[in-house]
Amino acid sequence: MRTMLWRSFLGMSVVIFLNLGVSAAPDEMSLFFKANEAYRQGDYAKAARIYERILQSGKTSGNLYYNLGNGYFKSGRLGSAVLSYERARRLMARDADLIANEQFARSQVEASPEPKASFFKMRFFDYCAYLTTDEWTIFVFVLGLATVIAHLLSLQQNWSVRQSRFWAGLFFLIWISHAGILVFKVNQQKDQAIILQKTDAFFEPRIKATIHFSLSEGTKVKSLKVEPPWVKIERSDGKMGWVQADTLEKI
Amino acid sequence: MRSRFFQCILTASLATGFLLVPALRGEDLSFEAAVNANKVNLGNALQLILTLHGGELKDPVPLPEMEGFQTRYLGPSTKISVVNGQVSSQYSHMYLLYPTKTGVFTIPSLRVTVNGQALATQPIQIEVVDSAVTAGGTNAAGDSSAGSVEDKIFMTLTIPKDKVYLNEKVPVTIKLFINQLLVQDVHYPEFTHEGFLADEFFDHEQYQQVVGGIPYQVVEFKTTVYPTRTGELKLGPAKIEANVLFAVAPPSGQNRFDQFFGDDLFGDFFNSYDKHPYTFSSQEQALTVLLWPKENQPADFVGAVGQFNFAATVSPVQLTLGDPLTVRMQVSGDGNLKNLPMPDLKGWNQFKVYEPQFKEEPGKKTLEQVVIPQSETITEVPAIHLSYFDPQTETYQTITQAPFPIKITKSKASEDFKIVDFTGEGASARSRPESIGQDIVFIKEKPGPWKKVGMDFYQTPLFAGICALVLLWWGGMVGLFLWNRQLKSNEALARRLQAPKKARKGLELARQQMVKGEAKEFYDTVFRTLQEYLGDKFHWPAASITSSGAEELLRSRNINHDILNRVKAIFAHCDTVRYAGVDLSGESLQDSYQRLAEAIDLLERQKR
Repeated sequence: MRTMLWRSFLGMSVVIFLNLGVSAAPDEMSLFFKANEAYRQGDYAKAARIYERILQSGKTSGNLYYNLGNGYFKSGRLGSAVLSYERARRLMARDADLIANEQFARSQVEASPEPKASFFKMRFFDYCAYLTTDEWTIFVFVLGLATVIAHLLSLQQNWSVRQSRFWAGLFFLIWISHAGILVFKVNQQKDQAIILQKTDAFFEPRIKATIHFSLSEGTKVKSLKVEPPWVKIERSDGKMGWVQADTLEKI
Repeated sequence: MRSRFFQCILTASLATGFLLVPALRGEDLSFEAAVNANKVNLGNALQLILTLHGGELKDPVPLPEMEGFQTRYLGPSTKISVVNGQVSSQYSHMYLLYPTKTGVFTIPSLRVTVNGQALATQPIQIEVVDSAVTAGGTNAAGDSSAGSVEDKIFMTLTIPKDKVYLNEKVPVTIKLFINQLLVQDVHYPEFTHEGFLADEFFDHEQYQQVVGGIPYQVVEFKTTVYPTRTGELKLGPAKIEANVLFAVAPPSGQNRFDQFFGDDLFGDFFNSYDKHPYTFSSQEQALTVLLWPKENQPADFVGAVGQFNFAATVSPVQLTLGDPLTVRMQVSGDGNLKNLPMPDLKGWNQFKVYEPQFKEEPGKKTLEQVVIPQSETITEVPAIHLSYFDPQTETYQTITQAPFPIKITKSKASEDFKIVDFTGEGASARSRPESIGQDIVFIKEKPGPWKKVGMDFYQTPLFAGICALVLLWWGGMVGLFLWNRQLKSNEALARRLQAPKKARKGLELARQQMVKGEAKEFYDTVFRTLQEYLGDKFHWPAASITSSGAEELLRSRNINHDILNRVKAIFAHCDTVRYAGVDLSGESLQDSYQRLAEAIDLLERQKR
């Protein structure tokens, strides 16, 4: 019985890892190097255009967004640079160069109000942000697999009911709490957007409405509702207003 | 058990639905408007509730523009009640009305169409009164005439004079006056200042001021502007955004203290407040901007306006040819220091002049200019002049810093080449902290792992497949464990499952013996195979199964007579051959084999 358990697990693992191969993308690779060359020669706008062409082909990578952010930054498009860095953060959360560049780009735009959050809330957000969504997915999957294996071992080893409940319960609790974090992270990221150019947020979705507050380029906001051509947004300090849809882009 | 529970719930729900629907349909439709008070103080908000009885009104009713009120939709509420079997429903929509002035106003008849039936509310008259008048019979100014929110909160934008000179400093004071109403979240003002440069606002001040006999809370903002072109210009209007707090009284009947003590004693305690955003505007201010007079205008005047002090120094005064010297100028005083043109050093042909460095501090502006004398014959640094126009005296002033004597010695040959410190602060510059540049980090050389745009791993079919695979593996393994456990604990089941397998083996052995013509062994095998098969299938001791034992067993298990007779016949035939020693032909063996196979097959098809 033990042999069967391990043989079946081994077989399943082989099937999974055979399917995890990353597809090669020769066209995208050559465009990427071409864009890098343009950047090296100081033609930042051209470099950004070529990076954008790669994105239009449907392929992306953390480094591509990072380089695109650099291209935008050097071309003076700070809002788009912050947007690209944010997108890169979703693919490589702990890259030191990326963190430095994003902070520098943000320091070049007007400071937006800091969200009011408690110490524990901030630590929780840091914990969520430490891994990318894909990394969280794999982590939660591995925890789930560990829970399943713990359960099967308890059956195979004829553990006592108490012992089985303890270990299966422990693994399950860890798994369910991290699955909850993954769901929270996915939901939190869903409606985030970046202001691409300085704009005003109005009380109502019309041009002549009263201005509620101003938004500098690069400000991260949450998109709440879309009524073309207006979008209702919420700033990090909780203030809400309507802005024109072409002044922001979802991350 | 569970399905029966759900069936009960479903039946009960359907029954309730069927009972309710006719009852609801039968109810009369009516539409009414209600307010929580017909008389309200300016500064208090009024609740308006529109209610439809007997029908469905999911969307809010749009309110028309109403004189004397601003409106805000609060939300819907639904109520279904069953009293003595009578079902009634009501859909309500709540609004807040904010009075904007005193007087008697009418909420007009509001119309809706429900199920093709046009319904309308009755108009409601509302009296809006000034709280100060209500309390004292007349307001503080002794004026009991109509008032408005704008009378209680207003703004002013003031400047000290209406004729100014180009680039003259003009102080601007913006005040927000508040009387009786509560105001929160006051933003910094914004004001139109086309044709002016404006400074940032200073910190605001708050104090009390009596205007026309009425005490006001005043929020004062100050800034300065500088006209950048001449002509008739306008400043303002200034706008301030703020939230006005309107007291919202609980629905009538809930606040019994009001009835007993009057409305103000406990009113504020029981009221809640609702913020309503307002933008207040001031009047604009016209002013004339004049060009500086042409008379007596100094030749080096370049537009400095105000009252200034000017000082200049030169150091070092003894130097070697080729060494730099620093000219320091400082201007302080009252005027547009930010855009003040500093005296330039045009005409200093005997000096090599480098880019100046400016430094601004509150109330003063400093310039440091590095120059290098080009000849050892130079004996003085020329005089420096600052000319400005004083708008108070309307005269031009020129401050001159006298020529500065210097002594230049010729450089030695060994010192022909030396590093020139362009800051003029040779010694201090070396001890100055290193200046670190800042920029973004360079691009990445390689693209890294590729993925599809907008597709996270958890959204891919691969991930779904892996999860399904793991779940299937888990389910399969759990099933397998449980099945093995079941077989270990249930011998009858294990034997029943083993029975056909063992029977097939017995039949195969019998077939081989049949082919070899070993009749005795063949019938032994046939007997034993059938005996063991029946014992395993019905969990019975195999040794006790004989012709008669088999009959008893099969009857107890309700096996049909045909099969029972076939089994009995096989046992009987086996006994005859084994004990009577009859030598049978190959055809007989074939027939017995066929009968055994059929009997086992029929028994396998029988339900247990």
